[in-house]
Amino acid sequence: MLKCARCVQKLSDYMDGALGTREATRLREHLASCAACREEYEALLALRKVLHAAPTPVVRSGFWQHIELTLRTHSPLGRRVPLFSVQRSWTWAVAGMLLLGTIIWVRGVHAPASKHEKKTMVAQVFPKETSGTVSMDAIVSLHTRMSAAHPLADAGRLRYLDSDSEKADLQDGKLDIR
Amino acid sequence: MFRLRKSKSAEAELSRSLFEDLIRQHQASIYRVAYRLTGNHEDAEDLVQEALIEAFEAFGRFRAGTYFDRWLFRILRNTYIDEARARPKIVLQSLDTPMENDEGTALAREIMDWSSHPESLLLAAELDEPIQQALMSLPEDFRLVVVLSDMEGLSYEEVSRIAGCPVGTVRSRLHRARMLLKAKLKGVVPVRNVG
Repeated sequence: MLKCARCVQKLSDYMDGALGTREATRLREHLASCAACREEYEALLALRKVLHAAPTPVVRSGFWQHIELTLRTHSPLGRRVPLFSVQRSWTWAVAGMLLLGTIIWVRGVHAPASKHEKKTMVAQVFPKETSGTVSMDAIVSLHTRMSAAHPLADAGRLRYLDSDSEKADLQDGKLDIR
Repeated sequence: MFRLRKSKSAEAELSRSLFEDLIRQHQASIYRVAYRLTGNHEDAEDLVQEALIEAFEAFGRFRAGTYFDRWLFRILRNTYIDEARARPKIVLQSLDTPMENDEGTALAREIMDWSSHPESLLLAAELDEPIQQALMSLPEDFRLVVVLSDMEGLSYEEVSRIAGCPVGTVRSRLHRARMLLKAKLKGVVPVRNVG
């Protein structure tokens, strides 16, 4: 049996036809036997009827002509949307996510490597070097192997190595790289 | 083979003309909702003007074949909320609070008994002021769902899209708003005798 408190909670849905068949039947049965709930229901019905029949307010004479004139003279480019408005909420959300993503990316790319990480990186690129520093021979050997035709990071010190003879001269210390 | 293209100004004029036609079709409901939300003609006119300018600028995003008034109501609601946030909070008067005259003497609010007027339209017209006062005593979110649902006849789903909240929230707010209005208008809105 439906209790009165539960019945009153469901009266709006029942009135709008939004209850399922079973629930509507139970509520209807309760209303048939409970005068207090029936009174509540009748009051809600009367209220909705009056609200629905409420008159359209009378508009000031000339108001719609004024609106028409405003629209005809309005330039869409001149409008400013308030900075913190419902329309801008999505813009702010996207901007915030982009900023957060950028901060996370920058911290990840430019995170300083620890000493151990640096030694590991050197060992991976130059496996024969054990001191943690890299000799000129090792760098030249690497680029010779790669047949580098591109400027190296320290462009002021080394130039392009285009020919095998130049590469050989560099290895023999005969090529002036200054 | 050439295809004549309309100039931009001709397209803009066509768009404006179409927009104005749609406004003319729905101007009664637009103003009605604005008035019921704001409670007075001055604020309603300002709200309608602001919302229509916003709508005019966004008209390119309106999808033909959908309900123009529902689309406009959403813009009206957003504009109303932005304006409500921007202006100072107003003090709402309860119908139970007695008014005072210039000498500070409390005056009881007299609410007439309309039970002798059976015509619902006449009744509604006469009750308009107490109804509007009761509406203004509601929180804005509650007022919006009552105006759209009970006064404009929109479905829960349509109200949900306009208000930007789930259907369940619409149902909950509507029920609570109706219960508050029923309490405020007790003795004002006649109820037929319960047997």
